[in-house]
Amino acid sequence: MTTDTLPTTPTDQGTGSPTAAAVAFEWLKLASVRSTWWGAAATVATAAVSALALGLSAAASAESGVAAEQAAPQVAAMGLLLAQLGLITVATLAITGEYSGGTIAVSLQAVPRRSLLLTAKAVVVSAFGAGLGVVTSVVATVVAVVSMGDRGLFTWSDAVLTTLGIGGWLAILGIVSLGLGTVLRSTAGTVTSLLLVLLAAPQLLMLMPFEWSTVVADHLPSTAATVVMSRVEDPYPVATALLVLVAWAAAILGAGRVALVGRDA
Amino acid sequence: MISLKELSKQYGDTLAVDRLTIDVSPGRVTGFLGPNGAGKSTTMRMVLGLTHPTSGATLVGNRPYASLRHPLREVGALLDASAVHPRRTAIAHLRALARSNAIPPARVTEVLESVGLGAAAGRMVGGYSLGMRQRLGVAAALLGDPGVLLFDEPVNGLDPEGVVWIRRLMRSMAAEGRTVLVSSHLMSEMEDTADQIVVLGRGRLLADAPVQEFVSSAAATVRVRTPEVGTLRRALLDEGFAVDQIATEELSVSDTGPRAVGDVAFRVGARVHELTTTSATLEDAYMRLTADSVEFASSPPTTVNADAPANTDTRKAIR
Repeated sequence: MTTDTLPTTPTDQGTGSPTAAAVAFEWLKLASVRSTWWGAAATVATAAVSALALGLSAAASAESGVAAEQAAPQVAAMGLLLAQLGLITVATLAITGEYSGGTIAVSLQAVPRRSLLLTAKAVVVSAFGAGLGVVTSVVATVVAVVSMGDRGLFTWSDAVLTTLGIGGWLAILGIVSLGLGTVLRSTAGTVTSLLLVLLAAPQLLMLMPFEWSTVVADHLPSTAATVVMSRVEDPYPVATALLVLVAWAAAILGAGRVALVGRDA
Repeated sequence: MISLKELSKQYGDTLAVDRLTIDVSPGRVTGFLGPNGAGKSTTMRMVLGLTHPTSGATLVGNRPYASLRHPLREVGALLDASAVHPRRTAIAHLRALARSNAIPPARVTEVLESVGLGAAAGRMVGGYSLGMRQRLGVAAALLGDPGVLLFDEPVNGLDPEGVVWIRRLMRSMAAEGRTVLVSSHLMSEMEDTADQIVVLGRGRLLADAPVQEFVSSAAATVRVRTPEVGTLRRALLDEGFAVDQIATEELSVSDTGPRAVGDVAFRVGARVHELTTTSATLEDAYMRLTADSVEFASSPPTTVNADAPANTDTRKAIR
Protein backbone atom coordinates (compact mmCIF):
# COMPACT_ATOMS: atom_id res chain seq x y z
CA MET A 1 0.00 0.00 0.00
CA THR A 2 2.83 2.39 0.70
CA THR A 3 5.89 3.00 -1.35
CA ASP A 4 9.03 4.79 -0.43
CA THR A 5 9.76 6.76 -3.54
CA LEU A 6 7.49 8.68 -5.81
CA PRO A 7 7.18 7.38 -9.32
CA THR A 8 7.16 10.55 -11.39
CA THR A 9 7.92 14.20 -11.13
CA PRO A 10 5.60 17.06 -12.00
CA THR A 11 6.27 18.64 -15.32
CA ASP A 12 7.01 22.30 -15.63
CA GLN A 13 3.59 23.05 -17.02
CA GLY A 14 1.21 25.77 -15.95
CA THR A 15 3.03 29.03 -16.39
CA GLY A 16 -0.07 31.07 -15.59
CA SER A 17 0.21 34.26 -13.60
CA PRO A 18 0.87 33.95 -9.87
CA THR A 19 -2.21 36.07 -9.20
CA ALA A 20 -4.49 33.73 -11.15
CA ALA A 21 -3.00 30.73 -9.34
CA ALA A 22 -3.47 32.37 -5.94
CA VAL A 23 -7.07 33.30 -6.75
CA ALA A 24 -7.81 29.76 -7.92
CA PHE A 25 -6.20 28.44 -4.72
CA GLU A 26 -8.40 30.62 -2.54
CA TRP A 27 -11.51 29.75 -4.52
CA LEU A 28 -10.86 26.00 -4.25
CA LYS A 29 -10.41 26.36 -0.50
CA LEU A 30 -13.57 28.44 -0.07
CA ALA A 31 -15.70 26.17 -2.25
CA SER A 32 -14.48 22.92 -0.70
CA VAL A 33 -15.91 23.47 2.78
CA ARG A 34 -19.59 23.01 3.48
CA SER A 35 -19.87 26.03 5.79
CA THR A 36 -19.43 28.31 2.78
CA TRP A 37 -22.55 26.91 1.15
CA TRP A 38 -24.48 26.90 4.42
CA GLY A 39 -23.66 30.58 4.83
CA ALA A 40 -24.79 31.32 1.29
CA ALA A 41 -27.99 29.32 1.76
CA ALA A 42 -28.67 31.15 5.03
CA THR A 43 -28.38 34.51 3.28
CA VAL A 44 -30.74 33.53 0.45
CA ALA A 45 -33.24 31.89 2.81
CA THR A 46 -33.29 34.80 5.26
CA ALA A 47 -33.82 37.30 2.45
CA ALA A 48 -36.58 35.14 0.95
CA VAL A 49 -38.43 34.67 4.25
CA SER A 50 -38.10 38.34 5.03
CA ALA A 51 -39.40 39.28 1.56
CA LEU A 52 -42.33 36.91 2.11
CA ALA A 53 -43.19 38.45 5.47
CA LEU A 54 -42.84 42.02 4.25
CA GLY A 55 -44.69 41.21 1.03
CA LEU A 56 -47.64 39.59 2.79
CA SER A 57 -47.78 42.42 5.28
CA ALA A 58 -47.69 45.05 2.55
CA ALA A 59 -50.40 43.22 0.64
CA ALA A 60 -52.56 43.01 3.77
CA SER A 61 -52.07 46.68 4.57
CA ALA A 62 -52.88 47.67 1.02
CA GLU A 63 -56.05 45.56 1.14
CA SER A 64 -57.26 47.47 4.20
CA GLY A 65 -56.40 50.68 2.44
CA VAL A 66 -53.59 51.68 4.78
CA ALA A 67 -50.40 51.76 2.78
CA ALA A 68 -49.51 52.72 -0.74
CA GLU A 69 -48.23 50.11 -3.15
CA GLN A 70 -44.58 49.16 -2.92
CA ALA A 71 -41.97 48.13 -5.42
CA ALA A 72 -41.22 44.42 -5.14
CA PRO A 73 -37.42 44.77 -5.59
CA GLN A 74 -37.35 47.32 -2.77
CA VAL A 75 -39.17 44.91 -0.51
CA ALA A 76 -36.62 42.27 -1.47
CA ALA A 77 -33.74 44.57 -0.44
CA MET A 78 -35.20 45.27 2.99
CA GLY A 79 -34.35 41.85 4.31
CA LEU A 80 -30.68 42.28 3.54
CA LEU A 81 -29.85 43.81 6.91
CA LEU A 82 -30.28 40.39 8.51
CA ALA A 83 -29.53 38.21 5.50
CA GLN A 84 -26.04 39.66 5.10
CA LEU A 85 -24.97 37.83 8.27
CA GLY A 86 -24.45 34.64 6.25
CA LEU A 87 -22.01 36.38 3.91
CA ILE A 88 -20.24 38.09 6.82
CA THR A 89 -19.57 34.68 8.36
CA VAL A 90 -18.30 33.14 5.13
CA ALA A 91 -15.98 36.05 4.35
CA THR A 92 -14.69 36.25 7.92
CA LEU A 93 -13.98 32.52 8.07
CA ALA A 94 -11.97 32.81 4.85
CA ILE A 95 -9.20 34.26 7.02
CA THR A 96 -10.04 33.59 10.69
CA GLY A 97 -10.66 29.91 9.93
CA GLU A 98 -7.06 29.74 8.73
CA TYR A 99 -5.80 31.10 12.02
CA SER A 100 -7.97 28.93 14.27
CA GLY A 101 -7.00 25.78 12.36
CA GLY A 102 -3.36 26.68 11.82
CA THR A 103 -3.77 26.36 8.05
CA ILE A 104 -2.46 29.90 7.54
CA ALA A 105 1.03 28.37 7.74
CA VAL A 106 0.18 25.99 4.91
CA SER A 107 -1.40 28.75 2.79
CA LEU A 108 1.63 31.01 3.25
CA GLN A 109 3.96 28.18 2.29
CA ALA A 110 2.04 27.88 -0.97
CA VAL A 111 1.72 31.65 -1.50
CA PRO A 112 4.51 33.30 0.51
CA ARG A 113 3.84 36.78 -0.82
CA ARG A 114 1.41 37.88 1.85
CA SER A 115 -0.18 40.81 0.08
CA LEU A 116 -0.79 38.54 -2.90
CA LEU A 117 -2.51 36.01 -0.65
CA LEU A 118 -4.73 38.71 0.84
CA THR A 119 -5.51 40.16 -2.59
CA ALA A 120 -6.50 36.71 -3.83
CA LYS A 121 -8.77 36.24 -0.81
CA ALA A 122 -10.31 39.68 -1.40
CA VAL A 123 -11.00 38.87 -5.06
CA VAL A 124 -12.62 35.56 -4.09
CA VAL A 125 -14.81 36.81 -1.22
CA SER A 126 -15.94 39.90 -3.15
CA ALA A 127 -16.81 37.83 -6.23
CA PHE A 128 -18.60 35.36 -3.99
CA GLY A 129 -20.45 38.23 -2.30
CA ALA A 130 -21.43 39.75 -5.64
CA GLY A 131 -22.69 36.43 -6.96
CA LEU A 132 -24.54 35.69 -3.76
CA GLY A 133 -26.07 39.19 -3.83
CA VAL A 134 -27.42 38.66 -7.35
CA VAL A 135 -28.91 35.27 -6.50
CA THR A 136 -30.38 36.60 -3.25
CA SER A 137 -31.91 39.58 -5.01
CA VAL A 138 -33.50 37.48 -7.75
CA VAL A 139 -34.94 34.94 -5.31
CA ALA A 140 -36.21 37.56 -2.86
CA THR A 141 -37.70 39.68 -5.65
CA VAL A 142 -39.61 36.70 -7.03
CA VAL A 143 -40.89 35.93 -3.53
CA ALA A 144 -41.89 39.57 -3.05
CA VAL A 145 -43.70 39.73 -6.39
CA VAL A 146 -45.62 36.55 -5.66
CA SER A 147 -46.47 37.40 -2.06
CA MET A 148 -47.65 40.94 -2.86
CA GLY A 149 -49.82 39.84 -5.71
CA ASP A 150 -51.10 42.71 -7.83
CA ARG A 151 -50.16 45.20 -5.07
CA GLY A 152 -46.47 44.92 -5.88
CA LEU A 153 -44.96 47.32 -8.37
CA PHE A 154 -42.40 45.78 -10.66
CA THR A 155 -40.24 47.29 -13.36
CA TRP A 156 -37.27 45.59 -14.95
CA SER A 157 -35.01 48.60 -14.54
CA ASP A 158 -35.86 48.76 -10.84
CA ALA A 159 -35.15 45.06 -10.44
CA VAL A 160 -31.82 45.23 -12.27
CA LEU A 161 -30.61 48.28 -10.35
CA THR A 162 -31.59 46.78 -7.00
CA THR A 163 -29.85 43.53 -7.91
CA LEU A 164 -26.69 45.42 -8.85
CA GLY A 165 -26.92 47.35 -5.59
CA ILE A 166 -27.25 44.22 -3.46
CA GLY A 167 -24.47 42.46 -5.38
CA GLY A 168 -22.20 45.49 -5.01
CA TRP A 169 -22.88 45.85 -1.30
CA LEU A 170 -22.24 42.19 -0.54
CA ALA A 171 -18.99 42.37 -2.54
CA ILE A 172 -17.87 45.32 -0.41
CA LEU A 173 -19.08 43.64 2.78
CA GLY A 174 -17.04 40.56 1.91
CA ILE A 175 -13.89 42.67 1.68
CA VAL A 176 -14.71 44.54 4.91
CA SER A 177 -15.24 41.24 6.78
CA LEU A 178 -12.02 39.77 5.37
CA GLY A 179 -9.99 42.85 6.25
CA LEU A 180 -11.27 43.04 9.80
CA GLY A 181 -10.81 39.28 10.24
CA THR A 182 -7.20 39.63 9.14
CA VAL A 183 -6.60 42.30 11.77
CA LEU A 184 -8.46 40.55 14.61
CA ARG A 185 -7.69 36.89 13.68
CA SER A 186 -10.80 35.80 15.56
CA THR A 187 -14.14 34.72 14.12
CA ALA A 188 -16.22 35.71 17.14
CA GLY A 189 -14.45 39.04 17.54
CA THR A 190 -14.83 39.94 13.88
CA VAL A 191 -18.49 38.96 13.52
CA THR A 192 -19.42 40.72 16.77
CA SER A 193 -17.59 43.90 15.78
CA LEU A 194 -19.26 43.91 12.38
CA LEU A 195 -22.71 43.44 13.90
CA LEU A 196 -22.06 46.36 16.23
CA VAL A 197 -20.88 48.64 13.43
CA LEU A 198 -23.52 47.58 10.91
CA LEU A 199 -26.61 47.18 13.08
CA ALA A 200 -26.12 48.87 16.45
CA ALA A 201 -23.92 51.89 15.68
CA PRO A 202 -26.32 53.67 13.27
CA GLN A 203 -29.19 53.41 15.79
CA LEU A 204 -27.10 54.53 18.77
CA LEU A 205 -25.53 57.45 16.95
CA MET A 206 -28.91 58.66 15.74
CA LEU A 207 -30.13 58.79 19.35
CA MET A 208 -27.35 61.16 20.33
CA PRO A 209 -28.18 64.87 20.23
CA PHE A 210 -24.92 65.99 18.61
CA GLU A 211 -24.35 67.20 15.11
CA TRP A 212 -21.25 65.10 14.68
CA SER A 213 -23.04 61.91 15.62
CA THR A 214 -25.40 62.37 12.69
CA VAL A 215 -22.48 63.02 10.36
CA VAL A 216 -20.76 59.84 11.56
CA ALA A 217 -23.97 57.82 11.30
CA ASP A 218 -24.50 59.07 7.75
CA HIS A 219 -21.12 57.79 6.73
CA LEU A 220 -21.34 54.36 8.30
CA PRO A 221 -21.36 51.43 5.86
CA SER A 222 -25.00 50.52 6.62
CA THR A 223 -26.28 53.97 5.73
CA ALA A 224 -24.34 54.05 2.47
CA ALA A 225 -25.39 50.47 1.70
CA THR A 226 -29.06 51.39 2.15
CA VAL A 227 -28.67 54.29 -0.28
CA VAL A 228 -27.02 51.98 -2.83
CA MET A 229 -29.64 49.23 -2.52
CA SER A 230 -32.77 51.39 -2.27
CA ARG A 231 -31.57 54.29 -4.40
CA VAL A 232 -33.36 56.62 -1.98
CA GLU A 233 -30.83 59.43 -2.16
CA ASP A 234 -30.86 60.47 1.45
CA PRO A 235 -28.49 61.75 2.89
CA TYR A 236 -26.47 61.69 -0.35
CA PRO A 237 -26.63 60.41 -3.91
CA VAL A 238 -25.78 56.81 -4.93
CA ALA A 239 -22.39 57.86 -6.35
CA THR A 240 -21.35 59.34 -2.99
CA ALA A 241 -22.63 56.25 -1.21
CA LEU A 242 -20.51 54.04 -3.44
CA LEU A 243 -17.52 56.22 -2.69
CA VAL A 244 -18.14 55.90 1.06
CA LEU A 245 -18.34 52.11 0.76
CA VAL A 246 -15.19 51.83 -1.32
CA ALA A 247 -13.35 54.02 1.18
CA TRP A 248 -14.41 51.73 4.05
CA ALA A 249 -13.36 48.62 2.15
CA ALA A 250 -10.01 50.12 1.16
CA ALA A 251 -9.23 51.32 4.68
CA ILE A 252 -10.07 48.03 6.39
CA LEU A 253 -8.39 45.85 3.77
CA GLY A 254 -5.36 48.12 4.02
CA ALA A 255 -5.25 47.60 7.78
CA GLY A 256 -5.52 43.85 7.17
CA ARG A 257 -2.63 44.00 4.73
CA VAL A 258 -0.42 45.82 7.25
CA ALA A 259 -1.29 43.22 9.90
CA LEU A 260 -0.70 40.22 7.64
CA VAL A 261 2.58 41.47 6.20
CA GLY A 262 4.01 42.76 9.45
CA ARG A 263 3.16 40.07 11.94
CA ASP A 264 4.42 36.53 12.30
CA ALA A 265 1.97 34.04 10.88
CA MET B 1 20.61 23.53 0.40
CA ILE B 2 19.35 25.58 3.30
CA SER B 3 21.51 28.39 4.69
CA LEU B 4 20.99 30.21 7.93
CA LYS B 5 23.05 33.35 8.32
CA GLU B 6 23.44 34.88 11.77
CA LEU B 7 19.77 34.07 12.32
CA SER B 8 18.17 35.47 15.48
CA LYS B 9 14.65 35.73 16.80
CA GLN B 10 13.69 37.58 19.94
CA TYR B 11 10.31 37.27 21.68
CA GLY B 12 10.15 39.95 24.34
CA ASP B 13 13.04 39.21 26.66
CA THR B 14 13.56 35.70 25.35
CA LEU B 15 16.10 35.06 22.66
CA ALA B 16 14.48 32.04 20.98
CA VAL B 17 17.14 31.75 18.29
CA ASP B 18 20.59 33.18 18.85
CA ARG B 19 22.86 33.98 15.88
CA LEU B 20 22.52 30.63 14.12
CA THR B 21 24.75 30.08 11.14
CA ILE B 22 24.26 26.68 9.53
CA ASP B 23 24.38 25.19 6.05
CA VAL B 24 22.15 22.17 5.58
CA SER B 25 23.58 20.21 2.67
CA PRO B 26 21.81 18.15 0.02
CA GLY B 27 22.18 14.38 -0.29
CA ARG B 28 21.94 13.61 3.38
CA VAL B 29 19.51 13.63 6.26
CA THR B 30 20.27 16.33 8.78
CA GLY B 31 18.86 15.70 12.24
CA PHE B 32 17.86 18.90 13.98
CA LEU B 33 17.96 18.19 17.68
CA GLY B 34 17.37 19.98 20.90
CA PRO B 35 15.20 19.95 24.00
CA ASN B 36 11.72 21.42 23.88
CA GLY B 37 11.92 25.17 23.54
CA ALA B 38 15.40 25.08 21.98
CA GLY B 39 14.21 27.02 18.93
CA LYS B 40 13.91 24.22 16.37
CA SER B 41 10.37 25.01 15.22
CA THR B 42 11.00 28.75 15.24
CA THR B 43 14.03 28.21 13.02
CA MET B 44 12.05 26.06 10.59
CA ARG B 45 9.26 28.64 10.49
CA MET B 46 11.81 31.33 9.67
CA VAL B 47 13.17 29.22 6.81
CA LEU B 48 9.63 29.10 5.40
CA GLY B 49 9.07 32.83 5.87
CA LEU B 50 6.27 32.28 8.40
CA THR B 51 8.12 34.00 11.23
CA HIS B 52 10.16 37.13 10.61
CA PRO B 53 13.72 36.96 11.96
CA THR B 54 14.75 39.73 14.33
CA SER B 55 18.05 39.75 12.47
CA GLY B 56 19.91 37.56 10.03
CA ALA B 57 18.56 35.68 7.05
CA THR B 58 17.51 32.27 5.77
CA LEU B 59 18.07 31.16 2.21
CA VAL B 60 16.78 28.17 0.31
CA GLY B 61 19.09 27.47 -2.62
CA ASN B 62 20.52 30.98 -2.28
CA ARG B 63 17.14 32.69 -2.35
CA PRO B 64 14.75 33.86 0.36
CA TYR B 65 11.68 31.61 0.54
CA ALA B 66 9.28 34.46 -0.20
CA SER B 67 10.95 35.14 -3.55
CA LEU B 68 10.38 31.60 -4.87
CA ARG B 69 7.95 31.59 -7.77
CA HIS B 70 6.60 28.10 -7.07
CA PRO B 71 7.76 27.46 -3.50
CA LEU B 72 6.00 24.10 -3.12
CA ARG B 73 8.04 22.79 -6.06
CA GLU B 74 11.28 23.69 -4.30
CA VAL B 75 10.53 23.22 -0.61
CA GLY B 76 8.18 20.70 0.99
CA ALA B 77 7.45 21.04 4.67
CA LEU B 78 5.50 19.22 7.31
CA LEU B 79 5.21 21.46 10.36
CA ASP B 80 1.90 20.68 12.02
CA ALA B 81 -0.08 17.74 10.73
CA SER B 82 -3.31 19.02 12.25
CA ALA B 83 -3.19 22.18 10.12
CA VAL B 84 -5.87 21.04 7.68
CA HIS B 85 -9.48 22.22 7.69
CA PRO B 86 -11.36 19.34 9.37
CA ARG B 87 -14.35 19.74 7.04
CA ARG B 88 -12.32 19.52 3.87
CA THR B 89 -11.47 16.26 2.13
CA ALA B 90 -7.85 15.26 1.73
CA ILE B 91 -8.10 15.38 -2.04
CA ALA B 92 -9.64 18.87 -2.02
CA HIS B 93 -6.89 20.08 0.31
CA LEU B 94 -4.16 18.82 -2.00
CA ARG B 95 -5.90 19.94 -5.18
CA ALA B 96 -6.02 23.51 -3.90
CA LEU B 97 -2.32 23.38 -2.96
CA ALA B 98 -1.46 21.91 -6.36
CA ARG B 99 -3.35 24.65 -8.16
CA SER B 100 -1.55 27.38 -6.21
CA ASN B 101 1.84 26.23 -7.49
CA ALA B 102 0.88 25.05 -11.00
CA ILE B 103 1.38 21.39 -10.11
CA PRO B 104 -0.52 19.01 -12.42
CA PRO B 105 -3.71 17.63 -10.75
CA ALA B 106 -2.66 14.06 -11.54
CA ARG B 107 0.14 14.48 -9.04
CA VAL B 108 -2.45 14.73 -6.23
CA THR B 109 -3.69 11.14 -6.62
CA GLU B 110 -0.12 10.02 -7.11
CA VAL B 111 1.11 11.35 -3.74
CA LEU B 112 -2.05 10.21 -1.95
CA GLU B 113 -1.43 6.67 -3.22
CA SER B 114 2.23 6.84 -2.32
CA VAL B 115 1.51 7.71 1.34
CA GLY B 116 -1.19 5.05 1.57
CA LEU B 117 -4.20 7.38 1.68
CA GLY B 118 -5.60 6.48 -1.73
CA ALA B 119 -8.71 4.85 -0.26
CA ALA B 120 -9.33 7.64 2.26
CA ALA B 121 -8.74 10.53 -0.17
CA GLY B 122 -12.41 11.49 -0.39
CA ARG B 123 -12.98 11.55 3.36
CA MET B 124 -13.07 14.65 5.54
CA VAL B 125 -9.76 15.19 7.30
CA GLY B 126 -11.59 15.71 10.61
CA GLY B 127 -12.23 11.97 10.69
CA TYR B 128 -8.56 11.08 10.20
CA SER B 129 -6.40 9.60 12.92
CA LEU B 130 -3.25 11.48 13.89
CA GLY B 131 -1.20 8.97 11.92
CA MET B 132 -3.32 9.55 8.81
CA ARG B 133 -2.91 13.31 9.19
CA GLN B 134 0.84 12.85 9.39
CA ARG B 135 0.67 10.89 6.16
CA LEU B 136 -1.43 13.62 4.56
CA GLY B 137 1.12 16.18 5.74
CA VAL B 138 3.87 14.13 4.11
CA ALA B 139 1.79 13.93 0.91
CA ALA B 140 1.48 17.73 0.91
CA ALA B 141 5.23 18.10 1.45
CA LEU B 142 5.98 15.77 -1.47
CA LEU B 143 3.32 17.28 -3.74
CA GLY B 144 5.68 19.55 -5.67
CA ASP B 145 8.49 16.97 -5.78
CA PRO B 146 10.75 19.48 -4.02
CA GLY B 147 14.51 19.35 -3.67
CA VAL B 148 14.36 20.52 -0.06
CA LEU B 149 12.29 18.84 2.65
CA LEU B 150 11.61 20.00 6.20
CA PHE B 151 9.92 17.77 8.74
CA ASP B 152 9.11 19.00 12.23
CA GLU B 153 8.79 16.01 14.59
CA PRO B 154 7.38 13.79 11.83
CA VAL B 155 7.02 10.57 13.81
CA ASN B 156 4.65 12.05 16.39
CA GLY B 157 1.51 9.95 16.45
CA LEU B 158 2.77 7.36 13.98
CA ASP B 159 2.51 3.66 14.70
CA PRO B 160 5.72 1.56 14.49
CA GLU B 161 5.03 0.72 10.87
CA GLY B 162 4.60 4.41 10.13
CA VAL B 163 7.84 5.26 11.92
CA VAL B 164 9.75 2.79 9.77
CA TRP B 165 8.02 4.13 6.69
CA ILE B 166 8.94 7.76 7.33
CA ARG B 167 12.49 6.81 8.23
CA ARG B 168 12.89 4.98 4.91
CA LEU B 169 11.25 7.84 3.09
CA MET B 170 13.72 10.36 4.48
CA ARG B 171 16.66 8.07 3.66
CA SER B 172 15.49 7.60 0.10
CA MET B 173 14.82 11.31 -0.37
CA ALA B 174 18.36 12.09 0.74
CA ALA B 175 19.73 9.30 -1.47
CA GLU B 176 18.08 11.03 -4.43
CA GLY B 177 20.17 14.09 -3.66
CA ARG B 178 17.54 16.12 -1.82
CA THR B 179 18.17 18.25 1.24
CA VAL B 180 16.34 16.73 4.21
CA LEU B 181 16.10 18.54 7.54
CA VAL B 182 14.21 16.70 10.26
CA SER B 183 13.70 17.94 13.78
CA SER B 184 13.26 15.68 16.75
CA HIS B 185 13.85 15.52 20.45
CA LEU B 186 14.14 11.74 20.18
CA MET B 187 17.73 10.67 19.79
CA SER B 188 16.87 7.06 19.09
CA GLU B 189 15.10 8.24 15.97
CA MET B 190 18.12 10.08 14.63
CA GLU B 191 20.71 7.41 15.26
CA ASP B 192 19.45 5.30 12.37
CA THR B 193 18.22 8.09 10.15
CA ALA B 194 20.50 11.09 10.18
CA ASP B 195 23.89 11.55 8.56
CA GLN B 196 24.52 14.94 10.07
CA ILE B 197 23.48 16.21 13.48
CA VAL B 198 22.73 19.80 14.36
CA VAL B 199 22.03 20.40 18.05
CA LEU B 200 20.34 23.50 19.44
CA GLY B 201 20.12 24.50 23.06
CA ARG B 202 18.38 27.72 24.15
CA GLY B 203 18.52 28.95 20.59
CA ARG B 204 22.26 28.50 20.26
CA LEU B 205 24.14 26.09 18.06
CA LEU B 206 25.72 23.45 20.29
CA ALA B 207 26.97 21.07 17.63
CA ASP B 208 26.99 20.60 13.87
CA ALA B 209 28.80 17.40 12.97
CA PRO B 210 28.49 14.07 11.17
CA VAL B 211 26.73 11.46 13.32
CA GLN B 212 29.89 9.35 13.85
CA GLU B 213 31.96 12.33 14.88
CA PHE B 214 29.20 13.50 17.17
CA VAL B 215 28.97 10.14 18.91
CA SER B 216 32.70 9.75 19.36
CA SER B 217 32.89 13.25 20.82
CA ALA B 218 31.09 11.80 23.81
CA ALA B 219 33.84 9.67 25.28
CA ALA B 220 33.04 6.28 26.67
CA THR B 221 32.67 5.11 30.23
CA VAL B 222 35.11 2.47 31.50
CA ARG B 223 34.30 -0.07 34.21
CA VAL B 224 37.18 -1.60 36.07
CA ARG B 225 37.12 -4.48 38.56
CA THR B 226 40.03 -4.65 41.00
CA PRO B 227 40.70 -5.95 44.55
CA GLU B 228 42.75 -2.75 45.19
CA VAL B 229 39.73 -0.47 44.86
CA GLY B 230 40.93 2.16 47.30
CA THR B 231 44.38 2.51 45.76
CA LEU B 232 43.11 2.74 42.21
CA ARG B 233 40.32 5.11 43.13
CA ARG B 234 42.72 7.56 44.80
CA ALA B 235 45.15 7.34 41.89
CA LEU B 236 42.43 8.01 39.35
CA LEU B 237 41.04 10.91 41.33
CA ASP B 238 44.54 12.36 41.61
CA GLU B 239 44.78 12.23 37.82
CA GLY B 240 41.53 14.18 37.57
CA PHE B 241 39.21 11.37 36.40
CA ALA B 242 35.53 11.27 37.36
CA VAL B 243 35.24 8.07 39.39
CA ASP B 244 32.26 6.29 40.90
CA GLN B 245 32.48 3.19 43.06
CA ILE B 246 29.64 1.04 41.79
CA ALA B 247 30.40 -2.20 43.71
CA THR B 248 32.81 -3.45 46.37
CA GLU B 249 35.49 -4.22 43.82
CA GLU B 250 34.26 -2.17 40.91
CA LEU B 251 34.77 1.41 39.72
CA SER B 252 33.17 3.35 36.91
CA VAL B 253 35.32 5.99 35.21
CA SER B 254 33.56 8.37 32.83
CA ASP B 255 34.86 10.31 29.86
CA THR B 256 37.84 8.14 29.14
CA GLY B 257 39.06 4.99 27.44
CA PRO B 258 40.40 1.59 28.65
CA ARG B 259 43.99 2.52 27.82
CA ALA B 260 44.14 5.48 30.24
CA VAL B 261 42.54 3.53 33.08
CA GLY B 262 44.75 0.46 32.46
CA ASP B 263 47.90 2.62 32.51
CA VAL B 264 46.99 4.18 35.86
CA ALA B 265 46.28 0.74 37.32
CA PHE B 266 49.66 -0.58 36.15
CA ARG B 267 51.52 2.40 37.62
CA VAL B 268 50.00 1.99 41.12
CA GLY B 269 50.21 -1.83 40.96
CA ALA B 270 46.48 -2.47 41.13
CA ARG B 271 45.47 -5.87 39.78
CA VAL B 272 42.85 -5.55 37.10
CA HIS B 273 40.37 -8.41 36.88
CA GLU B 274 38.09 -6.85 34.35
CA LEU B 275 38.16 -3.77 32.15
CA THR B 276 35.10 -3.00 30.02
CA THR B 277 34.10 -0.05 27.86
CA THR B 278 30.55 1.14 27.53
CA SER B 279 30.55 2.86 24.17
CA ALA B 280 28.76 6.17 23.90
CA THR B 281 25.44 6.43 22.15
CA LEU B 282 23.98 9.40 20.38
CA GLU B 283 21.75 9.74 23.41
CA ASP B 284 24.77 10.20 25.71
CA ALA B 285 26.34 12.76 23.44
CA TYR B 286 23.08 14.65 23.21
CA MET B 287 22.37 14.60 26.94
CA ARG B 288 25.84 15.85 27.66
CA LEU B 289 25.48 18.73 25.23
CA THR B 290 22.03 19.83 26.23
CA ALA B 291 22.22 19.26 29.96
CA ASP B 292 22.97 22.91 30.59
CA SER B 293 20.55 24.31 28.09
CA VAL B 294 17.24 22.81 29.07
CA GLU B 295 14.77 25.63 29.27
CA PHE B 296 11.99 23.90 31.15
CA ALA B 297 13.92 21.90 33.70
CA SER B 298 12.00 19.66 36.05
CA SER B 299 12.67 19.97 39.72
CA PRO B 300 14.65 17.16 41.34
CA PRO B 301 12.43 14.22 42.38
CA THR B 302 13.03 14.88 46.09
CA THR B 303 11.26 18.24 46.05
CA VAL B 304 7.79 17.54 44.79
CA ASN B 305 6.55 20.57 42.90
CA ALA B 306 3.09 20.45 41.43
CA ASP B 307 3.84 23.31 39.04
CA ALA B 308 6.88 21.71 37.48
CA PRO B 309 6.26 20.54 33.92
CA ALA B 310 6.01 16.77 33.91
CA ASN B 311 8.14 16.25 30.87
CA THR B 312 10.14 13.08 30.78
CA ASP B 313 12.42 14.31 28.02
CA THR B 314 13.64 17.29 29.94
CA ARG B 315 13.93 15.23 33.10
CA LYS B 316 16.21 12.83 31.32
CA ALA B 317 18.21 15.69 29.93
CA ILE B 318 18.83 17.37 33.29
CA ARG B 319 20.00 14.20 35.00
